[in-house]
Amino acid sequence: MRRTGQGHHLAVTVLELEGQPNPEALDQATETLGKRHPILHSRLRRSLRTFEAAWHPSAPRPIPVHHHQPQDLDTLIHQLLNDDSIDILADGPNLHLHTLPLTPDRWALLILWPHALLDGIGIDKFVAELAGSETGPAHGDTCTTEGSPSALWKQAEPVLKEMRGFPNHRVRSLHQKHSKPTTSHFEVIGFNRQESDAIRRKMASTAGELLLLPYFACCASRAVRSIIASRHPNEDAPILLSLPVQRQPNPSKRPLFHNHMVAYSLLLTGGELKDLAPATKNLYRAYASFLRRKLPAAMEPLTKLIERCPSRFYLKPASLYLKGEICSLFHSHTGQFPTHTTSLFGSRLINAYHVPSVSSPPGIGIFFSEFDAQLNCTISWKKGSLNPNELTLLKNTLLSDLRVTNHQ
Amino acid sequence: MENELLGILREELLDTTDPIDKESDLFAAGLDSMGIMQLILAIEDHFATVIDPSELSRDNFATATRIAHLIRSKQPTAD
Repeated sequence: MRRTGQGHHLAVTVLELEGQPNPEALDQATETLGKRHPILHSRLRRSLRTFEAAWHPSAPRPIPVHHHQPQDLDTLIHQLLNDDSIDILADGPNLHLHTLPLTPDRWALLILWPHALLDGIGIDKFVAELAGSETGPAHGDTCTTEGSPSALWKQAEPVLKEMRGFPNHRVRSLHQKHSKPTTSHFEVIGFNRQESDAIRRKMASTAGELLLLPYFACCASRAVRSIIASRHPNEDAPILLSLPVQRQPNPSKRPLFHNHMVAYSLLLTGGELKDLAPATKNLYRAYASFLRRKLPAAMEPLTKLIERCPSRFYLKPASLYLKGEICSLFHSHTGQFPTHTTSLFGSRLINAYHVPSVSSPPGIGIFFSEFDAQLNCTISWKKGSLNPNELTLLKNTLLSDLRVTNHQ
Repeated sequence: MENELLGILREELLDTTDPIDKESDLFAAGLDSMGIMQLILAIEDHFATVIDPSELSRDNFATATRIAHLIRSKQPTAD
């Protein structure tokens, strides 16, 4: 984990609120939650004997809160994503809160968290706890692995066989081999209610009202493909899409911590992605084929094996196998966020979204979420993965597919 | 058909012990985009009926009764 930088793979969740911060209420909440979840001050360490990772908690302490003077919101997010203030492999807090006044009557609460501990589901539950609307037992405070590695390997064989077909295609991402990925960059595109309605209408007429996941995955894939095709005009430019899928179908049973998902790897050729409407159907068919061949049942033991192994054991071979790539992009659509919270510490919530950092490869991630019927899109990339002209091409392709040509 | 659909929803898609009946709001019960995709496949397997993406509306999939109505409307009549 240390070698691949996974301990520093961070995300910022931004909650924009009306009014002003209430430091007393914040201190009370962070003290309660810090004591309730010792994992927030724990260190992840692997056993030298079994290789299994386990959290080693220190004494429960309040979650640190940092109050900032007024400054540009994006500048602060950029700074938080690129600071080394969280290292899950070292002693210290694994989650920080930051408050930032935006205007005299608006402020932002920023939550900095590591992907090794939380995801979109977990942070949604954490926000509900912060708001005091969720006080149930803490779930998922420990990593659990089941099954012997050899049995898991055997169960995972069908999906390994599937993956062996991927090198037949020249899969690329936006990672540039000769640039060393360092800084994380991002851009958040907030769509107003009218634009969000137009996006939903186009989705309904193109792919049906309910195929949200393949539709947005196709829009994101086509945007990334536009860059790959411009760099390699003589190639088919297929996309290897890593699609996160919940292991637990019942939202109320998903844990706050370690709600790690299974990733389904779907390969779409350039031809299959050429036009948006058929591309959505093609992605849906690829997913259906994945299900029909019972590959999710094989993906689960593979995920368990990966969780057990030090990351260099599988990332390096996977990277060599796919000539330096692991997938073409990261993508998710977390749907409504937050699902239940409407106010925090007496302040009404007026917008919410996530800014995840990404590794390189693939060097690019396109993420969607929705707040109060308004869509938010975060484009996240590593320095060197996109030049300014390519970023413009990526955004134009994405906005054109979403049918938001005059976005302000 | 409604009861068979409820069985699929309860056991394969929603993993819930909460009571759901033919008129329960399936989206409120946790049916999401991924669940819809799995449900379409289950409908193909159990009822030999292919649902076209253009028929994937919230209205058609709001309850087990509505889904059964959609499936019946696509199945050939006996005469």
